[in-house]
Amino acid sequence: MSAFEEEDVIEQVSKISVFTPLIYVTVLITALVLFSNFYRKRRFNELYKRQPFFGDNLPKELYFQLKNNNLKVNEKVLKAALLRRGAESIRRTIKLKEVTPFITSLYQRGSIGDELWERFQTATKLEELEVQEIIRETEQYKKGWVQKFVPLLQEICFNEALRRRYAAIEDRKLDLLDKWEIEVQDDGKLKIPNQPKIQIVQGPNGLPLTAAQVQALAQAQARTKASSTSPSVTTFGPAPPENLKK
Amino acid sequence: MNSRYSYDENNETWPVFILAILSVAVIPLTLQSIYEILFIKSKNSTTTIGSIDESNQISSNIKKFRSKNKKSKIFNKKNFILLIGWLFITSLIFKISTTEISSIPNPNNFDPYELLEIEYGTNEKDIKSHYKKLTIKYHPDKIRNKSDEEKKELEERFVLITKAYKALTDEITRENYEKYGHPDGPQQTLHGIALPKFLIEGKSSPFLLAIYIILIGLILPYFVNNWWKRTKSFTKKGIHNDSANLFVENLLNYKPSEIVKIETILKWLSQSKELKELLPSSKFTEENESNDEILEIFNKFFQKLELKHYELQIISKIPILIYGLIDISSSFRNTEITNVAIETLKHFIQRLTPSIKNELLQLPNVDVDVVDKTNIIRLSKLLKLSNDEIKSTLGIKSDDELIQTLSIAKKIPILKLIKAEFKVPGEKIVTPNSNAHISIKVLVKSPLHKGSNFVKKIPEIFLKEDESFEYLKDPFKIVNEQPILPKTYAPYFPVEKISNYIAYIIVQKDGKIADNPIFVQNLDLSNLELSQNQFENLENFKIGTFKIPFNQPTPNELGKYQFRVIIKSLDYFVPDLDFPVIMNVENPAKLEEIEYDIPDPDEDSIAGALAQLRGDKVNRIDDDYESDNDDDDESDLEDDEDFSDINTDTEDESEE
Amino acid sequence: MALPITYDSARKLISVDSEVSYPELQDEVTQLNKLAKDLISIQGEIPESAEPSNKITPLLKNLITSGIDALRKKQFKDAIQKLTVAIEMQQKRANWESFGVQLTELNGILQARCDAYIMNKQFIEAYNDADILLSTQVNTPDNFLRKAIASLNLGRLEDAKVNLERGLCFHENDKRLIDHLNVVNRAIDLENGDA
Repeated sequence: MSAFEEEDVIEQVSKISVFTPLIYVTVLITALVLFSNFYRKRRFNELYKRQPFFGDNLPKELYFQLKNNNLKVNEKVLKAALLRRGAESIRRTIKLKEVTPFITSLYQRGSIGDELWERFQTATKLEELEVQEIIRETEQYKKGWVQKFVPLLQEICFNEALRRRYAAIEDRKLDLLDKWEIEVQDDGKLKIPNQPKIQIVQGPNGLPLTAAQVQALAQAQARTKASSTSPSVTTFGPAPPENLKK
Repeated sequence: MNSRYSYDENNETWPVFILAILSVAVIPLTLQSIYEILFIKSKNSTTTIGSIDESNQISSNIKKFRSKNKKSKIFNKKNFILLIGWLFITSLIFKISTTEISSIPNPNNFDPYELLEIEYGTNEKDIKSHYKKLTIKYHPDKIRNKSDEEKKELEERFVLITKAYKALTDEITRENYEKYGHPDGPQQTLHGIALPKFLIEGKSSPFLLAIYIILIGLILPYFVNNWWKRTKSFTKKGIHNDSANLFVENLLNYKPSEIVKIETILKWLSQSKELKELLPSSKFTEENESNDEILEIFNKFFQKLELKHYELQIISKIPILIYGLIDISSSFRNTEITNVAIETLKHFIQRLTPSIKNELLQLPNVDVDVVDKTNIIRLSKLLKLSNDEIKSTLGIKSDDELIQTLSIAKKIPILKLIKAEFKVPGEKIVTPNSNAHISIKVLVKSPLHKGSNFVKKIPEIFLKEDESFEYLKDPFKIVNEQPILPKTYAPYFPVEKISNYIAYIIVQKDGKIADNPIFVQNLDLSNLELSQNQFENLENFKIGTFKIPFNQPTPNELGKYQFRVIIKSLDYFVPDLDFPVIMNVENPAKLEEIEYDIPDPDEDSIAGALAQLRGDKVNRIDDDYESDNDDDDESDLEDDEDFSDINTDTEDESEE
Repeated sequence: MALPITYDSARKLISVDSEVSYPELQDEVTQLNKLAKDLISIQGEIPESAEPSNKITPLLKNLITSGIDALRKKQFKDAIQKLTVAIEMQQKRANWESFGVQLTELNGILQARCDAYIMNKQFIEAYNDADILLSTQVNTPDNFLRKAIASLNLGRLEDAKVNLERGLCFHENDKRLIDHLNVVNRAIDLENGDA
């Protein structure tokens, strides 16, 4: 009986075509290959389209353009461009270092997505490469310059920042006046919204006081009469101008 | 073993199966719904202390938007689906209860006790006697005068009864019964599938297969993918990843030399993805165009023009975006942007453009041009004027309008600081390396109240906190026990908002934010109802408590650490609470010594006074200058500090 | 991408093509031209160190002394003008010269100019100078006082309060800060109708 049954089973098996597993495997593999191709292409596109973490690196572009200029560019101008490229790289490196803990904590809390996190990692790596490239570039001008070059970069970076901060004074002034709704009158005096008529009262030391301040001052002094306040309480300058004459 | 599949030919099991699945989903959801209707409702009702009725001010447009947007507690989508669920359940129950379960004893459902009509656990003697009774009743020989069919049934029955008896008494059959559930040994296994037969049979079977393929192969992956993409494209704060990226980029390239304005924040917001998605033309316009379009909508909103539905939707998304921005800007420790972001939110909530007079302009019935001329900028100053003066200051025309304006104005809460200190639960001082928080006692007052001097008179006992074990366990309990704040008076904002406060700590040394801000929704506003007399007589007045956790342990090194705390209303234009707090880390062992030291004249003060006597400004400037040039050592010493300072303060600027 | 720039080999200057408006690039080019000019004017191939040049120092010193003299004589306008020229002179230093030295130079002049502005009632200008002083974290009580006084006179009472309080965090017993804080607090109470 068992023999008969076995024959039957064999017959059944032989009914399945040899191609069935092959087709199965082919279909499976094609599907996987297609998927992985599609996935990789998409990923590549994503990486390609990925915005740089910082804006354009103009000092770097300027350097390259001057280096490849048709006319020969003065070597010192080129060096200046390289120094600025280095300073920009230092600035970016410092900035990246500064924001690393911020980005990390934001990422851990889920306040930013994976993409930004990856972009940040890429930016960090790119900046390391940039530093190495600048060092190589420096060595092309003269061997052993790196030691002298690099310390200057930080000075340039900070000094330029300080110059820009100082240069921003005029814009800031206008912005602040606008924000605080202070009008500049024809005579150059300021009109302050919460004190419509600025009555400049000469303080004891020839310093300007507004009416409200005088009143406030009077009351403040009345309150703290017991404590002997020095005359300088009433100065609105860091020190009385009389002292200047010493 | 033989097995066989049987489909639900009699429609017996599949309704039960579906009923089970349905009830698992519907019943808990219904309970949740009922809970929401009964309990959550009371939280937002207008009876909350200090709430302001704004119903007269709301325009029909906003009303329509709110009612459209607001999920009615009872008539909403979810409840509708639940209702359908319940309809199904009842019809299924009806169906089940009316379907006769075929009484043919299933050989697989062999139950000797049932067959013998005896209780489980009956002893053998009783079984025997019962069996005998039954055999008499069902013995085929005893049955006459019956149709063939009935005879056959009875015979079957008799055989089963015999088998049942054997199963309970005979050794071998008993073993069979226990092993296979049947006295005859192994039976056919029957797998019932709870699907109605019509789905399986003949023509419809390819149809079912197709449904399966579509369901598992397409629809399920589609929804999972969508869900996954959605969760991945939104941050935990509920803003789009792209918007979060945008905020980070803007903060990264932020130039401290530029003044941050409300417009700056508006520009950032206008670039955010979720707002663009709400534009009807989102797919066709260019990036910059849609930015401009959104800015234009902001503009329309602030100019008090009527907005379309999608435009109101865009405006209603602003709070969540700004919360997301605050989360990121405070992580970047940027005080200026955080401050302006909070102000921007307030401008949206009250639909006001930046103005120094916004404390007055947030009131109803106010004439902007008249307010422009006053020099009053504070609400509390305004409310101390006589009614006629208020009328002329605000340009209000009728007395009715004045009453309405005043009723709202006096309910806008103003906070006054009473006391703020660092606390380590269970300690009198701040010890090194411990968990501290800032405990802030405030006085909530109406703009009508005079509060400045009063604050100083509040006795210390009122400020004492319960030092019980429970307090030590949860020092924030006292905050959470305060009532929830009412709805904000914001008749022009498309959605309703519960009032809240934002509190954050700033490090005085560098002026940057120390930690992520906290949002506070609990504060007792009952003081707003008190008259000035009741207020000053300390009658019934409540003291509010804020607590800001200090998320790192206190420093190991003893000494003073300087902080500043800002508490801002996220709803109204009122003066912020803004005050310094010093963390004085002391060693617990030296407590007495330190206390003894305090009354001694401070050396610094003498030195300071002397220096002041000596110092005149010009010399000092000379000194500054000369020492910088002559004393290279000294400036070198400062270099390190200066470098690190400029790192954070100036180098950001260069990105242009 | 080619940037729209032209190099003038005779003057060794780079310029942004006039038909494009590209303020960021213009800023970069200006800074590059300054650095290039400074580099060309030195003897060696590159600067040897960050040591500040001695050429400017005496000129600078003269300007500052005369500025402060004018301040003494209460000729505030004159003082402001002289000190502004001093700052311009200071900014002529090459950018690779020690930042620490340059910062202290600039801050020294700014302190004097800020005082001159205050005396001359130019409070918004004074505020700006004090702001730079504090943003480079020269946290002296004087600088806090300067900013607070400017804020107070611009009607920014809360700003004044914050700055005085911040100053007091580091200089607990500075009497001028305490007294001014009292005045500011009274003014705030008045403004709030709380007094």
